[in-house]
Amino acid sequence: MEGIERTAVRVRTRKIKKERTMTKFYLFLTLVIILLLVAALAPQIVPYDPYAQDLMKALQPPSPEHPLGTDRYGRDELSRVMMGGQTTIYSALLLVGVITGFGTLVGLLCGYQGGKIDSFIMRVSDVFLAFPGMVFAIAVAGILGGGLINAVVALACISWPKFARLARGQVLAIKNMPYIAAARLSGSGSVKIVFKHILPNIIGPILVTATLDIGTMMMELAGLSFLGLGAMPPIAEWGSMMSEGRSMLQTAPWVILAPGCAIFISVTLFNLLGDTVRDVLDPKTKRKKGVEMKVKSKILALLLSTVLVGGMLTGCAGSTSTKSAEEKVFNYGTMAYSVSNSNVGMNPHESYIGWSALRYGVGETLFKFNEKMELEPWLAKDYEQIDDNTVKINLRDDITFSNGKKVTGEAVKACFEDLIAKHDRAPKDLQIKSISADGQSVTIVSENKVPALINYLCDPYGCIIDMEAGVTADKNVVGTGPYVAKTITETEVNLEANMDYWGGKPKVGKVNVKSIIDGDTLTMALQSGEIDAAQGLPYASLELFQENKDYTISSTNTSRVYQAALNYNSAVIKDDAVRKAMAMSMDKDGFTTVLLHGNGTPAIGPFPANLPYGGDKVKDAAYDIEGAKKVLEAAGWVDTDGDGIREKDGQKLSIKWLTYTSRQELPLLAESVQATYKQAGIDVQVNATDSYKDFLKAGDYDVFANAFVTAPTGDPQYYFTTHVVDNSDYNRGHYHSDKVEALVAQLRSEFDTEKRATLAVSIAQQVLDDNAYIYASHLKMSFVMKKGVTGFTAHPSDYYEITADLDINE
Amino acid sequence: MKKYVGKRLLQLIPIILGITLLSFTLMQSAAGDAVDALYDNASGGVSEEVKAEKRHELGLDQPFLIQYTNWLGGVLTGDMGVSYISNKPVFETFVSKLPATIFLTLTSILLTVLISIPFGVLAAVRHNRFTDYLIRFFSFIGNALPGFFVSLLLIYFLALQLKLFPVMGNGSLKSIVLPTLTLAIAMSAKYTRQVRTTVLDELNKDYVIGARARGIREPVVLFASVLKTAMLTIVTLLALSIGSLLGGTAIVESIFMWDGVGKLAVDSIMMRDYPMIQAYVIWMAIIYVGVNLVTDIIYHYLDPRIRLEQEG
Repeated sequence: MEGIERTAVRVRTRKIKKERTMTKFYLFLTLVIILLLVAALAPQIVPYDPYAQDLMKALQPPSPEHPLGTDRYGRDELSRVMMGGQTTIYSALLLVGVITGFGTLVGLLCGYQGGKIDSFIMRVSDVFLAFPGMVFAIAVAGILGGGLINAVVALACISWPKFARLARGQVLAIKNMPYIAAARLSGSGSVKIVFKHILPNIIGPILVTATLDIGTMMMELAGLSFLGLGAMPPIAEWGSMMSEGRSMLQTAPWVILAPGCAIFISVTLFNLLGDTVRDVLDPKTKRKKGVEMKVKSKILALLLSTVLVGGMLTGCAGSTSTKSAEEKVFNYGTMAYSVSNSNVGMNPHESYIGWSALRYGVGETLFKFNEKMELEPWLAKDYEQIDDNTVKINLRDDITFSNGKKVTGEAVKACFEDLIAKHDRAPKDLQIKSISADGQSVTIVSENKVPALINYLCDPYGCIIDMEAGVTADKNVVGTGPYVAKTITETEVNLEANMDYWGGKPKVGKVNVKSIIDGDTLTMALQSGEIDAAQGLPYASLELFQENKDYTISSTNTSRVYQAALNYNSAVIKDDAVRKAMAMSMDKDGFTTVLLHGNGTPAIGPFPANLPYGGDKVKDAAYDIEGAKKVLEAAGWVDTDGDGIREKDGQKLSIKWLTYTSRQELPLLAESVQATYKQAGIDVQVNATDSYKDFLKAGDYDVFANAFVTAPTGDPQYYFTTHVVDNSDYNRGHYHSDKVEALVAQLRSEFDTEKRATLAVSIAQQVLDDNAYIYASHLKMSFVMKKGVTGFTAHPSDYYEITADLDINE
Repeated sequence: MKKYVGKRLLQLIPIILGITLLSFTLMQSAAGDAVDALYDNASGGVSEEVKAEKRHELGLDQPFLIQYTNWLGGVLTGDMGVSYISNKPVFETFVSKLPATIFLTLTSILLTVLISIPFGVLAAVRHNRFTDYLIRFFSFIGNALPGFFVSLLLIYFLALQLKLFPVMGNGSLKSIVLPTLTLAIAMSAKYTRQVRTTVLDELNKDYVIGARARGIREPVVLFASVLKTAMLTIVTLLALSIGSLLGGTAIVESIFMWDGVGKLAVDSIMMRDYPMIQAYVIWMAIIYVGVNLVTDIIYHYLDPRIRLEQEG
């Protein structure tokens, strides 16, 4: 009697368990279906247009109106998250479907067949497995120009072998089992054995892995988008939305938390479903008895937690104590020092390394720039222009290298001879024919007229180093500056004060320059006190330090301009009215104050206000959407079909805006323009890609927007000869103006600084009048430092950072 | 056995040829070359003339196949070339960064194993009870958070708020904690589930019931039979993840300024520094093939039903 009852209870428990599994399965399936439906119907059910910008409403915290807040363009986060679900979830599903199907088939084939085919395919899969996923994804994105589809392709290529190996391993484990042999003996064909007897027995782990992989793939796609290799803005995709919100983690957390939570919830749902799928699909659960396990779980648990605690302790062991140095140490984190900036080392005669020598106070040039980018003597007293091709430079008498040797005319001559023998850019800039030294003077004869010769000598490659001391293997040199490099690595430079510095004793004993190329790490390192000052913080992070009395900020306008070149080879752009309307419709103030958080200055012409020929010396078209509409209407561009975009002669007023993403401002500018131009009735197709050079070559663009340093040596000629004259290297708009050609020709042979400035203003004004270029903003460069740091100032040239003035007062 | 290992090592040659050619092709067809990257990244532009000269100097103006064979010839004579960007020997640079990555990989794998195996087994043994739910709950959380998000949260809470660990890697033992945690959290979440699934599968097999029926004590069943069999799957997955860790720590390495090969690889790709990328790719191939070989051998010992010779 008792036995029967127990059996009945067991049957009931089993039934209940099975029912519970099924209930869970249906519950999670329903939730997943709801998720998929919301994603699929997103375009119909979003409360706001996920792409409509409203800069006035940027970065609003969650409110009844916008339940998840708004992003930096004032777009509704909820709508974007819903829309992003469509992109993210469906691409992940597609990806997993492809790799599971393909991988499993390959795995079955290899595992069952064995032999040559197995060997060959496994080697091919080895190639893909061995190929680092990141390299592959970046390469694919590089070739195909980024984008979500390419990210999916890249991930599919590197992910299928995982399933192939998993399936193959499972097949190998069961193919020698008696029941397979029995099936074969009873005359079943290979296909039948594989699909009827093997597949059902290995499908469990594969399906579980596949379902789990939906989440993983979603995150991998997000990771690629996070690196800028997946979905391109403005497409709403969770990964790229998180990457946009990343730098706002501390100031506007909802921007990253909304898509982050969306990923989290979806991945969790798919994982829960995966688990129940496993329970449902597992053929063994059907015939399984109600499992009663009398495990001595307490002992086991104790054992396991001991192992675990032991592990934790090992992981956390070995804390180090920090020494307190008696002399002043300045730890400086910068984005600008790295192998990829080609400036690792101190030798000015190689690549861009001179920038490091000059920036970090190791090397000094003969002349330097003041705040207005005007020349001032430094190691030299003065210079005389003897004739058009000859200049004589007189050196100061009291300068010594850090090794105590005197800086003489001969030393400078030796240095410059090495420079023009080894450097890539300097010989072409300077066009030196001969150098002669006489006591404390150097005379330079150039091949052609080089009016800006002295300016060029202020370029970091013009740092004076002791050639007798030479260059060490780690590219260290002996300069004249307030600091001497002690150790140089690719990520850090350790400097010590040059106690015999000719300009007075430096106030800080040691300076450590640390390369920190990740903006958020840089921010946090400054907050945690690991560094005392930072250069190159992301704009969104600057806010953390701005109204904060523990930090001070030094900012300056640089001559790096964000500009749009209008392509005259395009029929639409050739229309004067279109160019004019485009110039009038760019909201430079909104762009700089809202999108750049005030870390940029609206530009008028190519040069910033601190240059004598820059700022408001020229006039541009004022921001005036209504005016732009009138200009377009007068030229015959009218919206006849009511879609908000104007047409003329059956052609839509649509422009292709080509730009790239490695400068954070450019995609922002593109999106800002897209919104304001639309108000004027101009459609903008943004193509933000790092393979923009291909599009440039193909001529496939109406506008090319880029960043450019217009006056690196304080002289205007360089910009004009590279951008506005016929066939110049960067005249991407194929702009031509007879007047400009004539004026630039004059500029090339004019020595008088004031006359050069007047010429520069006339040229820039002509370019603006023709609306050949639209200048959006100038980069504002900021140093953020702890309170108490003094003598550390941002300079418009971007050359001088660590100087003898640097001091720390606690 | 020796013959088998030798055979597998010989297979390394076509793999290396295959992937270097593949990566060379991919890099070659990607837009922009090393010279563009070199000059565009640094401040100010240079004329196309200067760029053309530099291309000639580096041999980048030659046809693709010639570039590849030149490089291959160099490798065969033991010269992996000089980095286009830093002008330092590739091999030296690479080897100097390798220990940092290996160190990070090992600490992460160790932490992962220490978390996922005990918790996975525990969850399987306590199937559908509170412990199981709790462990699954945490593994769900770990599984559903992207690595870069985790690292930012870790930095925010552990480095900024509590000031327990430094934000940046500086070679000290303390600074490896955050990157290790970031990598281990994601992996442990994944493998805890995997271990649980595998052990559950084994626990439901007939031989376990048979063993129980014969009165064998449960811990013996668990440790002597179930775990040994379950290890097959677990070892495969762990081995594969060592490979992906050695190559896939790049984002984490960049975020934490951990000066390893992952960061080096990403930097090199951005700069199109072909010799450096090729060195990275070769090392990855060697590591992968090595790991796979070891996996197959362990397979053999854990499950003698699989014979090595079948590997072909």
